[in-house]
Amino acid sequence: MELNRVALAVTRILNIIEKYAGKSLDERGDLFEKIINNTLTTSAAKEAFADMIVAMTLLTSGNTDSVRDPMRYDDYFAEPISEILSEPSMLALEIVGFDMSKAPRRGHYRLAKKLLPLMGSSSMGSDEVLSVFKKSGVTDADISQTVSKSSDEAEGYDYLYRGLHSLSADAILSLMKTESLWDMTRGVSATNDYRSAMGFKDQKWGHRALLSITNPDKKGFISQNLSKYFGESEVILSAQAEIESYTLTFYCEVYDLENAEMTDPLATARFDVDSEGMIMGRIDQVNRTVKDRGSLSRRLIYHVDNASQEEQKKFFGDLHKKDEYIITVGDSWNMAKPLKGHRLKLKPYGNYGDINAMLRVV
Amino acid sequence: MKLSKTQIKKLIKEELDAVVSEMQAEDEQVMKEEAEAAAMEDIMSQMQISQSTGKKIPDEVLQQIDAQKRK
Repeated sequence: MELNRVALAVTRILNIIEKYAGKSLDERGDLFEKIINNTLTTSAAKEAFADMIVAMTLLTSGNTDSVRDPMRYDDYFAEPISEILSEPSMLALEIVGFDMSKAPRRGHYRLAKKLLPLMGSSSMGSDEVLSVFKKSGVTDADISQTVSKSSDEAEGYDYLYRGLHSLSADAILSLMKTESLWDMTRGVSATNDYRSAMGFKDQKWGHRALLSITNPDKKGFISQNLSKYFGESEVILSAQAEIESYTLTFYCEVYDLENAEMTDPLATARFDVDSEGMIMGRIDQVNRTVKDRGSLSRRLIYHVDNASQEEQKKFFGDLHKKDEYIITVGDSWNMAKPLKGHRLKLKPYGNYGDINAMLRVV
Repeated sequence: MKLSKTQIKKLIKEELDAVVSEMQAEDEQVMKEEAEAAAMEDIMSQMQISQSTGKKIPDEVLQQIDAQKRK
């Protein structure tokens, strides 16, 4: 199976017009008609174009379980495809004669599963997009300028982002593995908009992750304004990526095991871990009942500079799976003085682990 | 050299302990790999879901985050 590259270029052109041209629905309809009919001249090309729009729609607003496994498709729950299509996609599909009155069938999901990895791994230079645009017969100077100036939307993005929430501790551990390869070839939803990914990540509690993906070949299918949820600026990516580095933050309650009288936590502490081998714990909020709070406030209680990944994973894994971890405060000059030599029991607290992982498409 | 009954028992016990601990280590490794694979599948499944339901962070908050990162 091969992607029709002219059809792919047309999807990019239509997205640019939707995003920037500021035309009315009628004007966009006329432009789409001209572009599609002059560039996708065979029924096979039109069909290839419709397949891409439908596959993108099924991933972005259809049933993702059925995309993953078409055998899980249940026509009882399927709604007409017109319900999940964006306005520009409907305009485009109408032009190529796609029947939008019916619900997507299992066959559409099967095709999406095959097509999304190809779409998400595609790259295209802006020259190729512009050469297709030149064949469209569109002479409007504003539109020509918009298409030729929209280099990111024409040729793709160097950086993509993905937010994740409600993750297990094991999921965080799997991100603390530099040089490991991540197989995202099935096609995943990413965005070129950092804020969309951050917003999704912070939407729910539990362990959370922000993946920042360096994408040197600018791979991906640019869904953006062709998708029903255009605000998230979606790019479908299919690739293998390597974890290059990470930073992880989590908060703990701190119990002083040398002070048997105090059953409440002594303080909360923030821990920062990074792929360079650092584990650093610093007092965040001191319990109000503690005398001389100033001597503890913001002081270090733990600092390791060269921990192995296994040691870091054991720290985070034990803390979040066994719900506690015991450390001993060292006696170096920068440690919280009143706690030197104390054994402290840590218990997870607050928003759990929050990891920023840098990945690179390989 | 003839071994006493106690020595033989001790040797057998040591051998058995070694086999048991090897099997435990293998089991732990398998469980770890399974947990990792399950976690990976969870992540990949979530990655197929659009991020559209997330709230956008206002520009000023984003600028603060960027400024903190630069520090």
